Amino acid sequence: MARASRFTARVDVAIFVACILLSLIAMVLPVNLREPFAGTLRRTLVAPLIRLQRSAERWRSAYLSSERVELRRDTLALAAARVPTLDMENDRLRKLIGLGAKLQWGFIPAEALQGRGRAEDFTITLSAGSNAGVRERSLVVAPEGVVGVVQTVDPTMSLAILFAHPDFRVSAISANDSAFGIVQPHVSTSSTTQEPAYLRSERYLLEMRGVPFRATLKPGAVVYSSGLGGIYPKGIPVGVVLGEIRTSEAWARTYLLRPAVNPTELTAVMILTPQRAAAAGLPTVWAGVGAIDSATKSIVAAGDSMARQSATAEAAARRAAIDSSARVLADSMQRKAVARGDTVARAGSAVPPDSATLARVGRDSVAAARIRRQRRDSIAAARADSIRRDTSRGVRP
Amino acid sequence: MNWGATIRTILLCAILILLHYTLRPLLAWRASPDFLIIALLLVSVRVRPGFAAVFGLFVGLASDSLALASFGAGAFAMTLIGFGWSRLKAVFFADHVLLNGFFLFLGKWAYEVIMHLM
Repeated sequence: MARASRFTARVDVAIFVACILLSLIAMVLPVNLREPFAGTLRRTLVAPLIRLQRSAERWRSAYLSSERVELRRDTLALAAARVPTLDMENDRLRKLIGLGAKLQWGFIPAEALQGRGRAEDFTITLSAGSNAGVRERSLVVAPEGVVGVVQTVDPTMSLAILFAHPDFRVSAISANDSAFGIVQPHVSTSSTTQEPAYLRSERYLLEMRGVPFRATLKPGAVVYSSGLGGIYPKGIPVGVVLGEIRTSEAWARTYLLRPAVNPTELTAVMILTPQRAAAAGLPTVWAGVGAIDSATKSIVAAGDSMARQSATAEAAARRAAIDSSARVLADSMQRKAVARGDTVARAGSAVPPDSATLARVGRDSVAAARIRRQRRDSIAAARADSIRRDTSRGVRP
Repeated sequence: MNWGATIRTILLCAILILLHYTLRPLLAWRASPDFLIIALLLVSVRVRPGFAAVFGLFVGLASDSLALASFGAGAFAMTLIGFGWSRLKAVFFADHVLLNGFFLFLGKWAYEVIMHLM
């Protein structure tokens, strides 16, 4: 038994030594002797395993590329989701710039910060304060119309009450000066729903009270501030008439108004200084704000249409040059065919154009390039003169 | 060793070799497991030292056929590891999982040291 185990141990050692020698020989073999042996191993034993490895790596690269595609798709989806918001913000800012251009002085632009989480508040925080020139009871306006009035002023911010605030009042008048009254928030006492008052959408509507019986307002009529009372100057849009409502005041009419400004879209506003509010010329501002915006859009559209026209002209010039060279080629081919009387030439063997033709084609392309340069310069000059500039001029007492 | 254990060992070895050429490139980790060494060590503790040395030689030559510059080095290292671990199985071989894991760890380290010296 011990002899058998010793024998097997010696056999194991001998096999081990033989394997070591073989591996050492494999290491020191020259390349030309090593390569056939290695090639045989690769083609027989290793090839199926390499095929498996190739499939695994293809799976991995497919998985990674699908991850990248998904990431890119998610990024694009996120960017596309932001586009409507950016469009809306651009539109608002463009309108605000139009308003600033019309006002020209005496206004302070500010951001309106909402959503402090307090119910029945109807106030907004403005990002401008006394350092920027804001004063108490300054009027807050937007391109659409009245927003509210400043109540509290700090050095770097201020608080303003919205038109839906219970303390908000403005003396108003119709566009044709036939009807006048006092506009205040519409607080409905009767409601069939259980939700709190500040959550109901009609809470943001306005009422125009005290309108004489002789004066009637049709739905859709715009109501402006009348200028009486000393705070709100004349001519700022307050709201649009929705219809008449019955109230306890039996001696006058009361109309329900939709506010001119949508409180959910309030992001940037203008604060009028008291001097500007008292200055003349304010009634014409809101009449022209829409015109400014449309004028800006039409100038931008004109610039775009000029670019389109120049691109069309360039394409036409290029086409004309190609047509003229094709005509010259056809002419020369025909001349050659007539001269030789050969049907193969009529089938269309290629004949190079002469130098005069090449020179004409070159002149045409140089002229087209000059036209393109001139049109590009004119478009740049038109855009530089357009009304799209920063028109906020700051505060001028 | 009975036939059942033999077949189990062969199957395990084949699966580990397949995993080396499929799972390893699929994961492509910075520190990928070397399934060939694991297969060699698992076979070494179940067979005689001579057979473990032969198995190491063949597995080493097969893996070296793809790296011609060091043809034979892997075979040398795997022959040493196979024979050595088969001889040491009386010392290291145990039913404890952690000890077996340490055994595999030492084997891989020894392989890397030998390859580095070569």
